[in-house]
Amino acid sequence: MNGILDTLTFAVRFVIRDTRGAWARFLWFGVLLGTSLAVLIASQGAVSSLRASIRACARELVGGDIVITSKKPIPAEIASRFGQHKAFEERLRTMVRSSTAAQLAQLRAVDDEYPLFGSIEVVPKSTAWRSAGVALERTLMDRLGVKVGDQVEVLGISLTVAAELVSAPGDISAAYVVAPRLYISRSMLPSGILSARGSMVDYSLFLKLERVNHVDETAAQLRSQLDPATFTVDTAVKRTERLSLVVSSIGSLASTVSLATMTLALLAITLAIRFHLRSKRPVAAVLRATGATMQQIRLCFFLQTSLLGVLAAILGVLGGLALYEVLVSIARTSTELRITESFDPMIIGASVGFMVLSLLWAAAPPLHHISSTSAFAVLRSDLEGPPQPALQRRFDLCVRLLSGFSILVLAWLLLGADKSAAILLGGAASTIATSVSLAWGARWSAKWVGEYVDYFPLRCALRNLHRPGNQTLAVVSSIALALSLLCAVSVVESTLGTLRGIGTDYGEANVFLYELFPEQTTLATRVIEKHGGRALQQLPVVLMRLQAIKGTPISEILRTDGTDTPPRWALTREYWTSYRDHLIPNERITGGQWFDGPLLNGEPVPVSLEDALAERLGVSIGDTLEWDVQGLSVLTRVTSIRDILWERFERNSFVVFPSGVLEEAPQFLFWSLSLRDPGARSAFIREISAVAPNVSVIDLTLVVNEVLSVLSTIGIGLKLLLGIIAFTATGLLAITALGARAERAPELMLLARIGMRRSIKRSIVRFEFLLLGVLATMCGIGFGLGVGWSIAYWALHVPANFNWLSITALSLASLVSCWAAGRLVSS
Amino acid sequence: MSGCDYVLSFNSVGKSFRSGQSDIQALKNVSLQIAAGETVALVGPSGSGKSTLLSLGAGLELPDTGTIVLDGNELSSLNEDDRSILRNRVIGFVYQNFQLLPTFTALENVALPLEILGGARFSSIRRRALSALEEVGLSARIDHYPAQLSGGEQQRVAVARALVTHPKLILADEPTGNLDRANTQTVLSLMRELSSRHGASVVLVTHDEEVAATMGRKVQLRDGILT
Repeated sequence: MNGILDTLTFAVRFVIRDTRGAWARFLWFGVLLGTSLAVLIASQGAVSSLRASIRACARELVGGDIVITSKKPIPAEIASRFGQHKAFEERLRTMVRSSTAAQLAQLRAVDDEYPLFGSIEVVPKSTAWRSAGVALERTLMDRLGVKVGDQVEVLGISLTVAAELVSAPGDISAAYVVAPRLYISRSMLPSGILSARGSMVDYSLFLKLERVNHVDETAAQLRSQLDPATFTVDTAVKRTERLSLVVSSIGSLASTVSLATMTLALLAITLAIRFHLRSKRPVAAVLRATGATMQQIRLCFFLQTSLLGVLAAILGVLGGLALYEVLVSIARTSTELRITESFDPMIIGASVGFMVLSLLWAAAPPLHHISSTSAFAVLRSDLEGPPQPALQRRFDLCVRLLSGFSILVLAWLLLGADKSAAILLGGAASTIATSVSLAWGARWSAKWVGEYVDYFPLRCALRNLHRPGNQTLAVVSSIALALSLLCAVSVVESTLGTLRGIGTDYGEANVFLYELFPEQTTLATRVIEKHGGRALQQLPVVLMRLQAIKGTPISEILRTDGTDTPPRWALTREYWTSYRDHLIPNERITGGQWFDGPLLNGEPVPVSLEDALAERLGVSIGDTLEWDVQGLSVLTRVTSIRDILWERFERNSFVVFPSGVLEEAPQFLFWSLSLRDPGARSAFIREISAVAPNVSVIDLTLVVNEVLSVLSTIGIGLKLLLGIIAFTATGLLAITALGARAERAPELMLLARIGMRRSIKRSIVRFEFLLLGVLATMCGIGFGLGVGWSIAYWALHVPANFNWLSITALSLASLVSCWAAGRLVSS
Repeated sequence: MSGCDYVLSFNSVGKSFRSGQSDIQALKNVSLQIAAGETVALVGPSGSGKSTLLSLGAGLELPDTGTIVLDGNELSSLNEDDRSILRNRVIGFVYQNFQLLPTFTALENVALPLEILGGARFSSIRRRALSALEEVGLSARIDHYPAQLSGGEQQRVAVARALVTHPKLILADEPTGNLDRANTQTVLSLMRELSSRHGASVVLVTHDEEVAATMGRKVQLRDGILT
């Protein structure tokens, strides 16, 4: 027992004495690792709290235990079964007018019983608004230029703005950019005023069950009694699962970022530990010569590494908790979600465990090497220690592969242990593997190029890049990884930034008119011309629903529960379908042929489908689809598939018919207009909503402003991310430079002894680091552009936009940093 | 003289090292005995195997052939940790390039072998380290780091570290190789005086005939063979 205590005491004293000589470096390592740990803890904690809060207040979020939704009024016999424990809501998108402006809004007419759980929060805090008028979202009040007490006109009725809406059960506020919410009591509306709007109205019945454990059973019963093509029965839990999915996606992104940052920090620490322990080989040799046992030596350096872990853990946990509070308060203000759940301490345990395991992964091979190197050889050596035997190198590789695998497993568990976590980690692992491969290739190329260079310092520098024990692979791969992340984020940010051009770049369209009846065309044209506007695009729209796919009725498909069943929304939604004989600029044919012949009597009508919809419905060229066009059944055959660039603000349709079929069907028109003058635009919207109250008008510039504010929030997040990555990458380079300086000192002295001029020595080192920079920049920027393009194309579904200025700046920053590192090493 | 009177005994020792694709025979059938209290100078040209012999004697390496007995213990029969413990108790090392730990003060460097040995309170370890530094005339510089000491002072700290455990054997590998004449004399007289005071044997590797002449016996090594 005394022996163990003595060993421990000795090791602790050794660590204190050995560390105090380089405390600033030690602290720097701790900060570097702690920062990445803080990001991991904060992001995991915030996502976990959000998920828990959603689960905890599922019923309050939805407003009931069960929700039945439909485009048709809910049958009275269903509602009557639930006595007092029910509430109705009817939703309609309609124009709201004030004395100075008009704006599209989402009207929600609710019962006095609504919501059955949770509450509608308004200012002033009172339920009086239900009998006094309407409650409007702040955005809507601002756009209409009204305040509490003013009058607004809704569906032709003048109502008082009785309160400002703060929050209500249902979705998050970000969903109401185009049409902000307006709440009104159903009793304030004349009977039948909503049902007159037909399928434009969404009906919801919220149910409260006396016994919560009967929810699924009751929902199943209701589903069997109601036509699945018309009615959707959802439970609170199921609905909130969708919200949880959004949170999970955000969480996955945050976790990927924090893991990437931690990977960089770990690369830095791996290099640092390698340099540190390599420089400690003489110390270990002296310890052995003075009689220290292997266990004592291993314990000393193990404790030192652990101390670094403890320091990083303290900094990371403190920083993580602070950052967590910031994230939660942002979530509270931006999602209307009551986040009451406290921080899950397991996250700290798992994150710290992950970091410590990774640290040991970084330290294990050099620790093994230092304790197994011949003390005699080290003590007799002036320059470098003896090379690592091949067997030991293989052992180190096995240790690294094994511990790397265990880190991946732990990271997978941290990310949620599901398929998406596996995909994310697979992506991260491939990114690292690609960086290493590129670095390997670059190193090999340097050796080959070196043969053809006559200038001595440059030839030496090239030779240095592939000499044994050089840091080329580690530095190039890690800087390339950091650069590729920075470059990819820059491309994403720049691509998102292109959205700022919407409404101004494309055809100058900045106002959309929906639901304009054909007989209102002349009137609308007159109003447009009066205000100096012009129509850019006019499309007829016919509403229809799917009846059967390849001969199978939709109701039958809905009752099957297979994995290949098309999504419910695609089967039950109302399709805004158009008809025309020509392609428009935002689409192209990817399969089949555009309509080219006369329509044949008795044959199915040819239709063109959007590619993603065709995939979801599981149909291809030649398959049949049967539609319910306002009560009339129309059989169609898919003759072409189109790829549509939805991001361009041209109207398009999932389904397009040829001319000559739908002309007589009930329809309305969609118009896109250009109205440049803000005053004229406002006056036009107000006038058109007065003369054609059925028409919905969207002022795109207002929407763009809302989108911009969301984008600027994302932009802040992306800039924070860039900052963290840049900070970690700079730390990595600084560590490499400091380590290389310590390692190169004896070698440079030796070169001086054999007569090499100082300027040549400097040139060799600076060229070497500049070459490292060139290789890392080429690999990183090239790979980053590819990743950024892929994210833009596959995830954001928009063409990538490259900000060449920022990419050039990144490249220059990388080169200058490497040059500066070279100066530091040669100084 | 019986076998147990020798503090260190090499019996037909052979040792080779791998260098690239070939083996280098560093020592060939070397037999040498060091008696208690004896001072021996090991001389020979570079690469003759002097340092290899020293490291084998300290148990830092093991011989390919033959046996080495240190303080009655056959080194090849001990495991690495047991050899370390034996080295700590029996041997004090002095190197040409001092090999002091740069982040340890003079006192801490000297205390290191005692701390590794364990079993004593730090106050007692400190007292013994202080006493060793006093013996080499550095009691005023106990809190200085190696970088703050001159070459001669650093080597005196190394001597104090080698003697602090009162070892039976001092192994010195070119201890004066990096010192000027005055410091060489100081260090040599210190080693002679202190080893004689503590009854320790000394094996000193050197190129310098003058230094070798100060030792009781001179042993010549050439191409790994004792001559």
